[in-house]
Amino acid sequence: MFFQLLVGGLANGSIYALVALGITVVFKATEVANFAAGELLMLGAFVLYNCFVLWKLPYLASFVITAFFFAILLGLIMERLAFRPLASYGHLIQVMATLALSVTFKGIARLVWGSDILNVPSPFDFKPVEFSLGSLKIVISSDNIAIVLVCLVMMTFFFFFFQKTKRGKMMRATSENMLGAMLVGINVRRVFATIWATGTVILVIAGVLFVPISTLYIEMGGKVMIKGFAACILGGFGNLPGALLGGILMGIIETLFGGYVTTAMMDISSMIVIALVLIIKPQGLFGSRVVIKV
Amino acid sequence: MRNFGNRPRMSLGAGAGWIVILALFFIPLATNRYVQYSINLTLVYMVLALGLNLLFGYTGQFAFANAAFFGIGAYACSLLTVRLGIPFWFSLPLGGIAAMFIGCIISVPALRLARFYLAIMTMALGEAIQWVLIHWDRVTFGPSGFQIPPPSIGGLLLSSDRSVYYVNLLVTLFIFWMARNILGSRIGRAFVAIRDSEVAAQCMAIPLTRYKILAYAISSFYAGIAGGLYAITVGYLTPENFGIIQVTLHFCMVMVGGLGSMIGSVAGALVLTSLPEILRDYQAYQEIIYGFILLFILIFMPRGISGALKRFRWFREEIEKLTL
Repeated sequence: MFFQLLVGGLANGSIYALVALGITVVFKATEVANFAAGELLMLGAFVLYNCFVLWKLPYLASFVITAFFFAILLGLIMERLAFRPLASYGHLIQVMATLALSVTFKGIARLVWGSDILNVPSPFDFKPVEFSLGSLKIVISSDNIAIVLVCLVMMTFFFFFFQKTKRGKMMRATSENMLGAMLVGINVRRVFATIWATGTVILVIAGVLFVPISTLYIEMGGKVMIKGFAACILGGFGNLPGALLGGILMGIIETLFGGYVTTAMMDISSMIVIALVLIIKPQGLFGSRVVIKV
Repeated sequence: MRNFGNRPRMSLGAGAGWIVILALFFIPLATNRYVQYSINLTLVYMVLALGLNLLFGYTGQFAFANAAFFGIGAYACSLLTVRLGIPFWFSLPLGGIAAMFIGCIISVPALRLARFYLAIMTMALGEAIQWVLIHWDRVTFGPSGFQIPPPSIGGLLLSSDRSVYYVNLLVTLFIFWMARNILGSRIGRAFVAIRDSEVAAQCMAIPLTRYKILAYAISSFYAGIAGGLYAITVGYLTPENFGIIQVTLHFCMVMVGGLGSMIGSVAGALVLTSLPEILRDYQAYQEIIYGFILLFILIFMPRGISGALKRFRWFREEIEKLTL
């Protein structure tokens, strides 16, 4: 039972890790906590549904259209219309803007796809893996394997992107010190646009991967977003590896709550984690203590 | 310069204010049932916006839990009436006190947190309260909600929207008067000092902890009272009423009216409550319009309606004389 739960938690955890990654990427550079994260995930899931189920495109094509064309466009539009005009006003106002965007996205999705609960057939139709561990028999469904694998690939890709590529280094430099980045000739404005686009792509991919193990409805984003934030806080806010580990831990904690206490506890587990971490160790498991100088 | 301490003399603005207040008592003579209901709801949201503005606009605490306190107030007030038969005039303040109690408890960990941590923590609290309202169904009637019978005060049954209006109006006036006095006093000035710079406030011997807890207490009390009024205005409560869309609506009202302006909160509530009532059957349009209004205000009018009005000299002087 324990190992079975652990395996189930890993799939959910990978999704939360991706959400946390999407939030952290934006936060590190702009210091804006993206409260539209849940709705970006929801939009990704619905656009995939539109391509894959309504237009009957092959899965790979739908994935590319959703995760790259749609997400990059959306990220750039968001940055241009909302965050660039607000850049000089401080973080609080920009956080409010993410809130405004999240409500708007919900409304738009409701207008286009309606308020019904939908289901998307799973595109991964290979056989579930079974293996036995001593006397235990563990079954891993094909969805879970695919999700964990794709998440791993995405994470490696983004790590490589941030550590090795020039664009990634420019993004890290901007987040370290905006003025310094400007001085060495980095086009900060373009970097911000790239960052919002990258964050949106990550969140939309999380939504696309979440579809096979979840139902599709307008409010699906809110709960996932809270868990993504819980993952960020658990790993230390603004810490990329911390966000990933926090996400996977969060998924496991949640399934253990669901398996050993009651399923109703699954929804509340993230709040318990957030409250405990913030009260006991606000810098998270891997974060460093922030000293504010006066 | 704001006229602190000594009472401002009766000005043109104050005179107009008294006339408006008097006129408010005669509004039910000129309304039909539907318009009256919308006006009642507007008064509820005025109380809410005032409370949030105290915490967010005046003290500078970016907290998301307002809808949760709203829900606690609404449920506490009406459950006390429905389950225990406590009369409404007593359960309304009890609902406010219940919200204030939770608000004080929340404020203690929140004191250590700044910026977005506070926002995330209070957002999680909002979800947790909604979860409790849904799953504690032996007490709260669960996700389907429950009907609230019309309350009675001193043998007088408040069954019509007009009688509810008078209750709402009196409570709102009292709350507004209270907020005005609090903000004009030492406490209000301490709030503003904390918002502008915590370090500077500490240097002037303002105890941060005490005043922040006080700000949370007052704000959540207001939200709780608004919840009680909401319950008798609408007559039916479900946990969904207190979700994230509510928080966005409250922020919208405060931002549209203008941060740190009481008259602005009143104006924001007035503008934004009539809108959802017109579009009640079209949730999608409601959400899109809220989002766009909030975004528009943030980009083009960051000081809200009151900030725009203050550009005119006459308004600025009258508003400042009233210490609003």
